[in-house]
Amino acid sequence: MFRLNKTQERIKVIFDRKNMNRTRTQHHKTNRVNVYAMTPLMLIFSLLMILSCNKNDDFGEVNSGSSQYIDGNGVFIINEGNYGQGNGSLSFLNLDSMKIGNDIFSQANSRPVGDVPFSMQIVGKNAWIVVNNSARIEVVNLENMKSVATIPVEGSPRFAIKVQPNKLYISNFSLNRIFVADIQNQRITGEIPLTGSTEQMVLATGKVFAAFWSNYHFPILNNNRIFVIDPENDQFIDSVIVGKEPNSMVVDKNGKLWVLCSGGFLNDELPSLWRINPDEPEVEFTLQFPEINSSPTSLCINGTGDTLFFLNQGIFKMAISDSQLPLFSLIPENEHLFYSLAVHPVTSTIFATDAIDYQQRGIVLRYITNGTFTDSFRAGIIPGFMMFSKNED
Amino acid sequence: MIFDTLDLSPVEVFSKTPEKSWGFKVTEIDTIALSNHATQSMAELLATATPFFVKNYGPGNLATTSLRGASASHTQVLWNGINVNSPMPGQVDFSQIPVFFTDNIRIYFGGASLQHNSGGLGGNVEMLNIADWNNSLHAEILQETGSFDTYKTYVSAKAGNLKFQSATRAFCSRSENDFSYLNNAADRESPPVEYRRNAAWKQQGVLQEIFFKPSAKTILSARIWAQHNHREIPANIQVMVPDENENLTEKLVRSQLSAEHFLKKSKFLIQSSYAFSRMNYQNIISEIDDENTVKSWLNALKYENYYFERLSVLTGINFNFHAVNSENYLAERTRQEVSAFVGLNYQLGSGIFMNVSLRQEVVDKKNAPFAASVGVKARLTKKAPVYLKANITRNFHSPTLNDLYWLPGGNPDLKFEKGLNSELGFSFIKDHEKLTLSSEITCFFADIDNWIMWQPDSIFSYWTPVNLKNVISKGIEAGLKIELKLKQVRLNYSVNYSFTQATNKKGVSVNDQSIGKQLIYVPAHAANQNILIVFRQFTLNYACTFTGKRFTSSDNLRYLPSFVLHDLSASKALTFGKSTLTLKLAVNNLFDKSYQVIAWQPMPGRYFSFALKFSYLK
Repeated sequence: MFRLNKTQERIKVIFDRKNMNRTRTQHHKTNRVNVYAMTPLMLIFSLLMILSCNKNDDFGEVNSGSSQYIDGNGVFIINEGNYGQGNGSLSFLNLDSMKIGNDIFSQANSRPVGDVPFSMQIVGKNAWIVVNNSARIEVVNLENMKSVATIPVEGSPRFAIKVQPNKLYISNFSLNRIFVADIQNQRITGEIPLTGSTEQMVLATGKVFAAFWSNYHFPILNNNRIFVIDPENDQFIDSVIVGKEPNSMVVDKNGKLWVLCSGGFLNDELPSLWRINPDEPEVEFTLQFPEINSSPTSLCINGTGDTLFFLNQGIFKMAISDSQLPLFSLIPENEHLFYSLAVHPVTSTIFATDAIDYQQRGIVLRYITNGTFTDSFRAGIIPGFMMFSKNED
Repeated sequence: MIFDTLDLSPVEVFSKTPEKSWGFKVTEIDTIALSNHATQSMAELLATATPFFVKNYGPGNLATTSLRGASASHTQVLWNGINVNSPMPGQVDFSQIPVFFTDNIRIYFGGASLQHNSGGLGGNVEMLNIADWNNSLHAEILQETGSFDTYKTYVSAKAGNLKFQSATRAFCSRSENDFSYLNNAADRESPPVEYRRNAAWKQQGVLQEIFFKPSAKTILSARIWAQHNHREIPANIQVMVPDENENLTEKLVRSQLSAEHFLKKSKFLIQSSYAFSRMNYQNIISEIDDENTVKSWLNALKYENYYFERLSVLTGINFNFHAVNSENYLAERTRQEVSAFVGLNYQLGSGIFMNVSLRQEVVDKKNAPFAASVGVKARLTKKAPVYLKANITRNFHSPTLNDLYWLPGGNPDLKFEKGLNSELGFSFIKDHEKLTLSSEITCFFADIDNWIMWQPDSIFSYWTPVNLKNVISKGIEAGLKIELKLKQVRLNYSVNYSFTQATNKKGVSVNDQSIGKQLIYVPAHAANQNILIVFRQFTLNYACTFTGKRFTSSDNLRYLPSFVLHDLSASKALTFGKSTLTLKLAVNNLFDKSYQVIAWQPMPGRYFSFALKFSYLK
């Protein structure tokens, strides 16, 4: 600061014409340093600002955490990202090399996958990625993740399921319709009108069971049912009443359908697990969770179809023959907050995700069937839905 | 940049309105910048004329500011003494405030904000309207036309005498805002050119002020500000939505009555304000059609005493009441704030000044943490006006009504956010006949605990706010301003730089990689410079702003690159007697830089505006 002060004094002197000569002779050396130091500094600063960053090649969001895609035997992780922020991505954990590829769609296609990628269905050599808030399906080649087709879907698409060799159903959060897609031609060919929105779908005894999970867009309807659809003629057949908010479904080795209901996001009723005979279809029995403030999700089944897994602030396991819900978790939550769950169809390895603070790369954790932790990997922001690459058909 | 440091020389101290910021950093945006940005919003002004990062979703769209790494709700905005932050999100949208409606803007950094109110953990932005008692008639009409079908009209008329003054201002501005941009969501390598859709906006407003001096010792003033804003909200470019999917309409009225009475060595102020706002948000796809109504009644009583030569005492009480009706709340929700304040300004010796502020607030019948600040200013040498400034402040911020009552998720158990701010700085101001030089360097430190963040609850039913983070923000701000006045030429140069390191100290779990990392959307480096040359009646202005890299994920693996913007404007004034006609041509984003302030929200490239101003001064 003292230096600046001196500089000031000198500047004053310099601009004072009367003293110009005296200044030049007496303070020649110091003047040059102090007085003119400011001007080149200003110029350099101005030039730096003009020159820096004037290229247009670097202006969008950069992900420095991406890594290479190695196709093969493994699991795809759909990282939802934050709604409206466009930071969702795709990851693939190769289970042979145990290497994770992050941001693999964006790397292969030089563009983001879209806002809130939500689920994926593998169909032949392609994967159909349902991008919820961008309202489209990205069809990619599994070998290199290159986009094969982009199919716009009305409303808010959630899940896709292959129901026939050339037919795919797409469920919808905001519309009371399931869209029918032609797999070969990669386009929407029809729709099935229903009395509610649809979330997860499964195939059982040749029929499609679609869960009416949220009544956000249909507030007068009761979101406690499973729609039954005949994929031959795309007709609604029947519906089965279950608990509020059926969020996930699986089919066991006996062909029975299991439905997990959270009981409503405002804890309207006790969460429940339902077993349904898909032939009739009718409810065979119900198990109620004791705690109204709990919200079980992510019902999964092992490869042999005899053991169920689900999340309920910890990972729980029960045999399909059990007559009551498990009291204790197989894997307690501890430092984690489990977001999503999947069980490998062959090895029955348990995969769980933890989104941490929802603004950073979440983690994928692996446990062997008895609950022993093996390893973990960093995926993308909010890792959710998981799909095994050899799970096809 | 155009940024003034208030020089609080001892002479001014015991004048009628003593400054109360000894030892704190308070800056003022100078009048040249205000008139240069007269046709813009506060968002545009703050982005180019201050080193703050303005988090802007696009022209005419939501724009909030982060001061020194604190959140948008930690910036308190005052309009002639009343707080205009919405009690719902706790923040102010600067895109909706016309610069034309203010006469003076001051920035109170960090702890300096406590002299006015609590909650400014980042600081305060103060907008003031000032009566000019010497004015008899001053009328102005300003018309601007710009790129993207932008039309703006501003009118003002100020008339009066030594006892009575009236000031009327009105404006109407609208824009199609359909600028072209490079769509990197379609192809990062060779982005196609596209046009922004669903981004139009329109604003209209009027501000009427009346000042009256019934006696030499009393000033009465009344103000009313009414405004209507409508804007379409464009989606991020990864989202395909139908046209006109999302929009926001706001009607607001802010009114104020105040009386000031001067005694021999003291002053009374009584002020009462009523503000009303009705906001309608529509989103067709999400089937949202929400209406929020906010009514605020804000009252202040202040007494300033400068009886002693070296000591002035300011005492005050505030009573504020807010009532909010929202479809997102279960019922009408209210907030009641009562606060008592004592401020002391003390001159210890020649060249040492001190400021102490104490504030106790009761929010909804709950005692808020006691807030206090101490600042010291000392002249370092007798020879030169070099000052040292140091201060420390303990402050707090109340959870917003959305944090407490939003349905679902609102958390009534939230604690106050607590802030500790401190600063150490030097300033230097030297006035010469032809040259004025001022510079300031400030180091700051802030520790904000119980920082509120929305997170999914433990069972993923919905998002809920929690007192999650502990943020440490520290940095350096440096500024230099040179003003040169020659016979025919006037030159102003200013440059500012700020470094902000704002990191999170508390993780949600051991796996949290955000610990020790920079907060998202807080640039570490920001700088700006401004060159103004006035030659006779011709003015040339060049502004340049640098915004550093902003991280977009809390683990700092995702980021938006830095960008530099250049704006150039030239104007020529023609005088005919008492009338002046000014023509102005401006080029913004001179080098057509593609950039995004928020990820996937494009900003316009090069654009132009042409303005004509006619003013009559009697």
